[in-house]
Amino acid sequence: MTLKELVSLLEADVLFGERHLDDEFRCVSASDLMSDVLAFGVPGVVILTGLPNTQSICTADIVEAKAVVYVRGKRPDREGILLAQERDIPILSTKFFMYKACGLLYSRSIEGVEKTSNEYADSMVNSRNFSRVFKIKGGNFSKAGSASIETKEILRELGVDPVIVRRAAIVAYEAEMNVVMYADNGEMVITVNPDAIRIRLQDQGPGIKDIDAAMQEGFSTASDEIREMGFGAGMGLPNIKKNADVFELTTTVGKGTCYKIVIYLDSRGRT
Amino acid sequence: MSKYFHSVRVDESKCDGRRRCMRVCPTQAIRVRNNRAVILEEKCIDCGECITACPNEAIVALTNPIGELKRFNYTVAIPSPTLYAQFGRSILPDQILAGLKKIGFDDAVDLAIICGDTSLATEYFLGDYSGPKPLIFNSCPAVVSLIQVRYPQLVDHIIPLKEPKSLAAKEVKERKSKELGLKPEDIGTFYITPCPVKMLAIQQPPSKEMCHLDGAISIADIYGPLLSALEGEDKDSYRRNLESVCILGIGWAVAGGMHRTQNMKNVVDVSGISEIITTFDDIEQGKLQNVDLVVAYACPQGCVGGSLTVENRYISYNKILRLLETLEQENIEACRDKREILERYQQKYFHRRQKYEPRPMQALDKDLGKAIRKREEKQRLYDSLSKVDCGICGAPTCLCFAEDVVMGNAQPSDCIFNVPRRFKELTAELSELLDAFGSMGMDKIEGHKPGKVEK
Repeated sequence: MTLKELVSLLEADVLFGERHLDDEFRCVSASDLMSDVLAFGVPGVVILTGLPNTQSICTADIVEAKAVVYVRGKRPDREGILLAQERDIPILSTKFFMYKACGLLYSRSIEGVEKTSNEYADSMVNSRNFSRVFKIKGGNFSKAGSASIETKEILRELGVDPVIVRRAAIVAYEAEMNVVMYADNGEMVITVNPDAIRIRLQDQGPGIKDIDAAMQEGFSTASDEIREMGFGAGMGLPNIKKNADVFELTTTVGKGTCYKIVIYLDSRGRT
Repeated sequence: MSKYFHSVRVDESKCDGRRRCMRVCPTQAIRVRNNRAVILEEKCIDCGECITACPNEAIVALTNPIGELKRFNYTVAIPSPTLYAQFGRSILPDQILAGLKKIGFDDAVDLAIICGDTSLATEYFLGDYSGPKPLIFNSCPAVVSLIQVRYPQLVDHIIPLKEPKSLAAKEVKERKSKELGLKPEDIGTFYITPCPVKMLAIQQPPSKEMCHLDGAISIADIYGPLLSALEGEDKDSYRRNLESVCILGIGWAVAGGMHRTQNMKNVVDVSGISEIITTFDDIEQGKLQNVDLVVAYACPQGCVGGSLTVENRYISYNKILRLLETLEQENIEACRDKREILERYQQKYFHRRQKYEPRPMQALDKDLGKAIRKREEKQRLYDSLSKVDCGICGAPTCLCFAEDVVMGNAQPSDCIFNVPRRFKELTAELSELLDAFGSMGMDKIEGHKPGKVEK
């Protein structure tokens, strides 16, 4: 629900924060006891309270609340409004009593805070993840590359910078091809959140005997057949390293290899 | 005002929502809403596949009618070599050009010659080039659009040379205005086109460089009048005409023809959008780095497969091949002096300075966090769908439908597979209601025997 919808639902006056009205919030904490709000408040929460003093705004600031709604037509004094402006926290006032205001929100399936903030933070992070799992079969050259093509498509839909899309596509492709060329099976998990693209690939296969050598350009253990197909030029791992921000490789000879790759989407990225 | 010009339009009065166009569209740019086809302008690349597919002729290409010639003091036809492919070696280019003059043009120039020049310029360019490979040829505007929309990262791979038809129009306007003392704008240059996408290149050129063409007339529109204007010829004039055919340019009408007679070894030809998509995916993954040039035609078999042509694409493909063979056997190489072309090339006559701008498809949301949530929703919805891609909802695939729902352009209830489910839900609700009535003693009124009256 957006703050705008909240305003119309509670027939509220906007005392400050018009420009935030398109923002979304996910849950509500209704209490006059600010210590309860502090204990259970989570970032993005809307606080419903009958306590129209600066305390409520300070609390909202600490828990990174999306807005404060004062019930029963209460309004903070001038000092309170100034503080809200200073901290950039929208404040609203509804004529409804606390019970009715809560009831209206509850009837619209808005959740209350129940979990501790840490639990909630975890669920928030999870809900902003997008993951896809790809099963890759060793030796299946006809399907090779399809996981990385889908990855590329997803990143494009998400509006990720084309330069980063290309880097991620190359990384995913090289990792995918390593499974196709050398391993029996593999599972690649692509996870995107607003900070980064994470690629985790675990394969069952021979493992890498000498990681340092494998990281060198031109080093390859590919068979002649694979080379004839135009693969196995020894550029795979160096190419991943070149395009990833973080690249961790762990391997057990005879068992398999695990790739952990991160490409940052924010300023930490190299573009 | 729409953002992009499109030369493919739906004639709503003729469309009855049969969805053939929707199924063939290679970029999934067509939806059927309220039983009418709608083209999503952001995704459309004007390839014209839908025009061929429509049984009602409800999708039309926006070309100029031949009556438009009256707008100009002097008109010049610049026919695509594909026009020659409609006739083959029995009726040669010179005869066709003469025919064009009879049906209303003041002059007609042989575009194949400029195509040949550009083929040579391409050969020179490949010799000098050391940037990222492969280069992609720009003769097909649908391919250029496809790159702009779907492969924005490959924009830099498009060969930076000008298109022959624009070069030809410029040359003609300059020459004719000098000869006749007319202003360039009084001279109308008309491309005779095998497909609607060339119209796009005239109205909204993919690169900002000025296009010197004034319009495009469809081969299909001109074929009838032209056929009746053609005259027979004797053996002597046939031989003379044969000697004037430019072997380098004539092949531009078919996939593989552009470089057939040249010293370009590492060139790959692709035709048909789905084939092109596979190939471009490979290029993005860095697979074709040993190839110098990819010549891609959106239409199968090349321009002869265009939706505004008349002859069967395989027959006209063969006609061009036979003509090329004849020219090779007869050792005819009617092209401009290679030294002159090299000189022009060195003076950058063929170089295109402006770049093609990427126009990537809209993301699910501007905000990455929201986009991720929408993508998740789309996936969840898609996983719940039948995945038979029946198209009844009006979207070509279940995946497209899921996206349309997430973007607010369709309702989950539009999916026919959801109807029985919804029916079940309603039935359950209804019987619950009846049960509730029963527990209130209402069953006696209607005679309803509820399953569980008591709690």
